Amino acid sequence: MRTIRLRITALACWCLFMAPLSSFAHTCDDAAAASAVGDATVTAGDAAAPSPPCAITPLEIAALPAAESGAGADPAFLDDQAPAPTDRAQAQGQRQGQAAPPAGNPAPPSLGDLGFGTEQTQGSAQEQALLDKRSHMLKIHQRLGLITTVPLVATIFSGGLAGGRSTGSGGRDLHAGLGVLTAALYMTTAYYAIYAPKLPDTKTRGPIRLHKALAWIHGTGMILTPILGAIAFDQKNRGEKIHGIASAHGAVGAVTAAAYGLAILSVSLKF
Amino acid sequence: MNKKLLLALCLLAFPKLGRAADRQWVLEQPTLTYHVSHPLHSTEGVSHAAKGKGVCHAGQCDFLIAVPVKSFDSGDSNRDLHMLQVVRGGQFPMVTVRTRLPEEAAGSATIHADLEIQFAGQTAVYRQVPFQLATQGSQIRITGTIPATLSDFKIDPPTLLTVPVKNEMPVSVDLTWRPR
Repeated sequence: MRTIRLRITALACWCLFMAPLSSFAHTCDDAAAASAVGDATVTAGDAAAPSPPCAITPLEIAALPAAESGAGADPAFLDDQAPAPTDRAQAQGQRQGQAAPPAGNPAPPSLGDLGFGTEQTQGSAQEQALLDKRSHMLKIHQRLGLITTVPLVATIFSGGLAGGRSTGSGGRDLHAGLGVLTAALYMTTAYYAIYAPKLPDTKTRGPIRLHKALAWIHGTGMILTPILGAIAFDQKNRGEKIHGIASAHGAVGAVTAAAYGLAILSVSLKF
Repeated sequence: MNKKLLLALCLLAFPKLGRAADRQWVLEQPTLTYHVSHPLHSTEGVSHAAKGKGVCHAGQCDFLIAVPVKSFDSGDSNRDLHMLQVVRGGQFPMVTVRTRLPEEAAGSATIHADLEIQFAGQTAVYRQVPFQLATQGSQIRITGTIPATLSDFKIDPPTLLTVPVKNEMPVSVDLTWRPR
């Protein structure tokens, strides 16, 4: 009776010893077989596939002879999870977790283990749409802003034809026309910056603060300059010498143009 | 005879049963810095918000590092928001890096890691990226640079004054790990 009990215990221990070995062997065979037949769950490119339990490590690859490892041999754990080297980047959704590992192996770390909240890890199509709209509007703002510099510079140079002792109206008309074009483009440019969506909880930092501060100067100037220009235009058409508040037209225009140029440089160059 | 056989078998069996014993690593003091170049100037964005964990088993360690995209600070909120848009940070708010290393690599001065990076809704794999290791007590400091490019993640290069930034976007890594 005692002998039988001992034999049963011995058999139990033998089973305990063999079970994990056969389990590991079986898992490896499965992975190898699946790879050989191109099983979709383990082939390259399936980033959602779990790590194979018998992956070849970089250290093991280094230990293999060149002929065995092959040039540019890749660790199996990456082969089974990630795209092939020739197609490194593939469209994949954000993986939030991992598949359960084989019994006996600890789970590889997942995003949930790191302590990030769901609100941090979950993507939001709405937020992306808001960012897209904001960037789109600010790109138009940037392009229009650059385009505006052309009539602005032309307006400055044509100012020499409009004032002084010049008696003809051609130069004044050209200057006034360029001024109107500049102001119209400027207002359109400003619209795209002012009405670009704002993201909540975003604190303004960096050179953009100077860019925004200068907008108060050239914004005010872009309203005042045409008004003063119109007054000066009337005075000149009446044959009068420019006087009163209209005499500030040139100076206000110069300050406006300077602030405008500085605003462009503030976000273009690193100070 | 039976007793000896029983003892031998049990001695062989129990070490195998102890195989599930793990060692874990936790990321501390992380600094990740991306570098972007433009003909007018270069820009860096820094994040200290990465979190990471390593789980070791049977001589192999699986590491996961994740960092929120919006945690990168370039010193210019406008640029950061634009970066967030071009990398589709609203839809894919996290960058994750996975790698597997042999446990004994902790004793090396240099390691070469294969990295699987998920970013901007894409997955890219970087093979044999060299990192320097420095042991500081029980902690290990890992430094190196990941040779990332915008095209790896199908990111349209952002433009400044209609001129696009360069495709190269190397990411400097400075991570300190401590065992748990």
